[in-house]
Amino acid sequence: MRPAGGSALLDVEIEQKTFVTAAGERLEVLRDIGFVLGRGEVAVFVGPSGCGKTTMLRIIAGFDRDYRGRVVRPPGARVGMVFEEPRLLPWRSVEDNVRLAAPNADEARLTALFAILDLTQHRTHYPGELSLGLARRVALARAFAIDPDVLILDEPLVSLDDALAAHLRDELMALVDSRPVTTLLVTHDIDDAVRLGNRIFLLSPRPAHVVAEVPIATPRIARSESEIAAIKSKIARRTNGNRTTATRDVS
Amino acid sequence: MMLRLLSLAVFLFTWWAASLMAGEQMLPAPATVLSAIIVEARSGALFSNLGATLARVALSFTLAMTLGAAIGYLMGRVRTADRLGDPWLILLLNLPALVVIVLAYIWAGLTEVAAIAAIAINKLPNAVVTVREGTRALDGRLDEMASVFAIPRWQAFRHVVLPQLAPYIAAAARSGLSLVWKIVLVAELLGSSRCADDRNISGAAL
Repeated sequence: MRPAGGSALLDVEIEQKTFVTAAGERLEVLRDIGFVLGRGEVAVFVGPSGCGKTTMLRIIAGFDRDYRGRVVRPPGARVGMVFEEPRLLPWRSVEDNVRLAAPNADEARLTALFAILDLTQHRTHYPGELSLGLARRVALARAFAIDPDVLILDEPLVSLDDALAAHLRDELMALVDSRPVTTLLVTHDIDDAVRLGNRIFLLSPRPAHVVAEVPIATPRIARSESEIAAIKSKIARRTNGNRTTATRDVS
Repeated sequence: MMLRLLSLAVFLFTWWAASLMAGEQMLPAPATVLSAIIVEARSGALFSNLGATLARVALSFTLAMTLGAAIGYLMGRVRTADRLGDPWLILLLNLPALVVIVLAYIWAGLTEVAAIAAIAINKLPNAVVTVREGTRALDGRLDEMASVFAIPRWQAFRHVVLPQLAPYIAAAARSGLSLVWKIVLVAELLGSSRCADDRNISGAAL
């Protein structure tokens, strides 16, 4: 169907990223973060807040070029991104927001996408008329509408109530399973991480580096509650050893 | 609406009262002015003169807004352009309208081109400043969104940037229109020996 991608590898090797503060101090945010993702792999990054996860995503998305290292995306790869805030255009309707990013998406695809995300009756609404939960779903629809090869999700479920977050996570899972898309997900929530990821990267406090990688071989749908609980406690032991804030999410 | 009419009536009354006290020589009464307008309208001179003035307004306004918005956007986006353009901008902002008009007539002669260019130059810095402020206030997060989704440059400008600039462009246009309208009369007054159709303005004024 599409020429893009091949094996759709994402090769990230960030040696160092520093910021210079207003006071002239050098602040090291990232150090030696490296990984290679294969086509369809879902990598989840878990770490204490303020450790530099968003900075890492910004580098991978290509917004920030001032770092040492390299990010190699497959040539011509389409990148979809869901930001921490929805970042919709307030002067365009829900449908027009999605269409601006995905001019080639056909009607059938959009209809299906809006149906999966429960947005069908909101197509003509404007972002100002939507709740945060709905706006988040529009942002997800926009990212999926372009048929991305690489999907970047920066805490897409944060500050939603538990029921809605769980519902949206299931939708996200369905979308990621519907076609192979190399996904990077940043989250605080270990539960989300274990349910969605193939590979979980545990990050240290600043300067962030990968403390441990937890691969999960069982396919997402086949994961039993007991297996999920076992992986979560394994992660909890690791992160406790490193004194991170992740404990709160596990308890 | 009633309040507006009342306010207008108070203005006309004040005008009339002032003209009575100062005498017709110093301040013609509203009725005198109205009859002059009617005479000019009957002869057709009013409409051809007004048409010529409006054409100058439209031309110089369009020129100043287009150029001003483009320069303002560039200066808001590119720091080097801002640094290079800023001294020129300050110079133009503080240059009296009269100086620009007189210089334009001296350099280019008493021509239409000189008049329109002089008026446009008067309006230009005002448009630059307003649009530059608007460009500085653009939401960088939406730019990032446009860049990650690879929205083509022109599309992004049209649908992401322009709607954010619209209030600033509207403000520049509103203040610009009144400014151009005021200055066009100064330019016509000064250039009247060349432009026959302006004789009436200078005649009335002198």
